[in-house]
Amino acid sequence: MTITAELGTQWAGGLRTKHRSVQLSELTAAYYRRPTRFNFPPQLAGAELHWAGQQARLGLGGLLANTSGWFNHPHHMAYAEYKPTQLATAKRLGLTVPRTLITNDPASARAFSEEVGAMVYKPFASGGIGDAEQPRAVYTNVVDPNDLDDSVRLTAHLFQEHIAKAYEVRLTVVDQQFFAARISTHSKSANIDWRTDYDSLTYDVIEVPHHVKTQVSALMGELNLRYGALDFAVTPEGAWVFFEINPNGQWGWIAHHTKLPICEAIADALIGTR
Amino acid sequence: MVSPSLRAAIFPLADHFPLAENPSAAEKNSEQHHQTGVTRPFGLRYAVKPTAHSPVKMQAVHYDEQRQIGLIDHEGIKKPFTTFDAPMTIESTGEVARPTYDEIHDYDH
Repeated sequence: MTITAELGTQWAGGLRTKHRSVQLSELTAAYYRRPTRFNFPPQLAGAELHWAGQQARLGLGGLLANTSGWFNHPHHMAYAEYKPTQLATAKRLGLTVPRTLITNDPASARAFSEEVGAMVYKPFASGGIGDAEQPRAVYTNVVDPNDLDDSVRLTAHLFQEHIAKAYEVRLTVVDQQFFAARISTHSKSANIDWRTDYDSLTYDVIEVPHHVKTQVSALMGELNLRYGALDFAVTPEGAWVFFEINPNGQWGWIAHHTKLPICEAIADALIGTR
Repeated sequence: MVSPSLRAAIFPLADHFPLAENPSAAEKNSEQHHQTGVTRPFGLRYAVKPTAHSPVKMQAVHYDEQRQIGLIDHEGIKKPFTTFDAPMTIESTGEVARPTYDEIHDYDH
């Protein structure tokens, strides 16, 4: 990629690849989906490679940060990705949120466990760990309080009360359009975290209660997000419990199983037809 | 309310095209950490091999820079990494909640 931009009253110039080019002034939308790291000429390595990456990130990234029409803007996604931020904001806006503890103190974790009864551990981020044999993932797990030992001290941990679920909902929001899929789980592990066993899941389209829509709209506005993939548990009593919002969460498999027009909504959002 | 520019400085993305300073650089911390004798954080006791949903040979997946679409090897031919039930493509959300004729399936492997 070649970039050239000169500062006049604003940045003017463009980006060019082997197959296409665009002027910064022509940009009306930008879809931040799953960008990968920069590719550099093979002669760059080590410290020089790291330095070049940093310059590219801040240079090209800085140019694009000024572009309007982001879906979503990376800075807003970065802020919204913090689970403590989204949980506190959701709660403040009226969404039901599980009782939650963040700690690296085993005693606090044990005390919380005694207070809430059944407790789960959730990682703050979905990234796995690249173990020697192969990458491994960490999902939500029910915690045996007897396991809470000094290993809690080694980093921040998130514990929550375990919510009894009738089913779960993946709510995809695109520019205030709501696409809700009811996820029914049919295995023990999927009942704790449906990401562990996709093959056991079934999907149906479901309506979102009006009060949840209002609260989620407010949450999206507060977090400056145009797109969000939200996870809810619905209790046997019918209460919607907010688990998390993924500012860059997957939607393709939901659209595939439910025929919800999420793809079309995103396309409309990008070309500005709404 | 934190201004967007200040948020960018405080809450930069850790990786994947961050638009602010990379926070993954280790901070020097002179604090004496409690010696626990354990080597793995509590949360990692739950690390498991991910369950493959749809096995995809990554060597069979390619990217067409010209068309900017994913391709997959299928019976010796590189085909677009999507499935079309009909030859036409939906171009708008439309009025109906569910498309009844033209469908686009994005396989999110």
